[in-house]
Amino acid sequence: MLLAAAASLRGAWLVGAFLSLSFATIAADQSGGTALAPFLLVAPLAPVLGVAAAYGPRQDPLEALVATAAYGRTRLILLRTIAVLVSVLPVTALLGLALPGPRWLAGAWLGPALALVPVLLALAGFVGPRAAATIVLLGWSSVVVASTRAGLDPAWPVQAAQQGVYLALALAACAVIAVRLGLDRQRGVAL
Amino acid sequence: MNVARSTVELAGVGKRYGRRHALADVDLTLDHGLTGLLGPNGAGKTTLLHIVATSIVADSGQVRLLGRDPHGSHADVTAVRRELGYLPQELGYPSDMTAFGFVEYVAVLKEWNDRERRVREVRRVLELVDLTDQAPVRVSRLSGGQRRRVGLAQALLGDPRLVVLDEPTTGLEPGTARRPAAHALHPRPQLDRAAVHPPDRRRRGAL
Repeated sequence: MLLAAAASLRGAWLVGAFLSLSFATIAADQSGGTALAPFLLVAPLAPVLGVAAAYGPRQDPLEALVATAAYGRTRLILLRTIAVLVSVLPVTALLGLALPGPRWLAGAWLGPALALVPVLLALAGFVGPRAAATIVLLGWSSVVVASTRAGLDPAWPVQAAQQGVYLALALAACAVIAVRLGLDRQRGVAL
Repeated sequence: MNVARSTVELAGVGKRYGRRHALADVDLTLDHGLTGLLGPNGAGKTTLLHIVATSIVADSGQVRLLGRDPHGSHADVTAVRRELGYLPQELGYPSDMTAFGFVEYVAVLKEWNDRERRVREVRRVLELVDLTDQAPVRVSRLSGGQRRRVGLAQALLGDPRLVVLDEPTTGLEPGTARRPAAHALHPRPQLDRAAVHPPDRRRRGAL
């Protein structure tokens, strides 16, 4: 019921995300593993964009009521975030199995995906979900495109060393959210 | 000032948007009953209602609603919101929701978790605003006035002690269609309700 007003949890958005991920997987597959960039670009961004489209005054027509409801805006955003992750991650993981190359690649994109979602939520508390999604999108695209242009291993963005960076990023973002929630005078706007 | 009796207490409240002062040093105490706010456009009526509805926080001053500080603890603001009904000036409606679905959605946000009780309450408030027959109709197919009444219905869920209505009669035609709103806005003796709303100047006196 509480997910009904979230744009990214409706059929059209989910079908769009699935098609984008499918095409990215096909492109990576056709390259024989030399061009993983399309998949590595899209897979972590799908949940990020889904979460960004799940709340906020421009995405949720009921934002004015959500902001004053006893249920709590923060709680609702976290619920919708989980719903987006549950909708998008399993499909992406299944598509990842079709990628050429080592099996760990199928799940390696989860690292940046799970890091970028809290980064999005932390940034959104300052600039709103739309602008935060744009910043995350540009940032992640830069990482993938720059690694490709630099001639690094196609899987470089999700290799073990980078996963540590994503973990640190996720922890930092969670810390920012926690601090803002603690200092929040207007309950529910820290996210 | 009797904290226990006052529904809304503002002391020295100020709010700025950039360099512009929307509210400056506002003192206001409201007890039980119906209160209307009158003032020219841009006077800060809606900003004041946003503060009372806990949707924005004042930059300065003290706010107490139903005897609690809405910007204090999480428990305090939640307790206030449980007894608050709010109709914003502009309310969006998801196009695929029915009138019943919309009000039920808000009921869930207001923590009406028991489905049977929730459904009963949604039916009650839709009847209050004379929309029982329109309950299964999509909000997008309702007239502007009917949508406003759907908005009014959600604000009345659970007979809240504090009802904040911003331009509640916008779009309602004079005469019969306004009666449900008037009925809903007038506090009944058994209710402990205060309503704060800026009356529509074209039609004031009818409520």
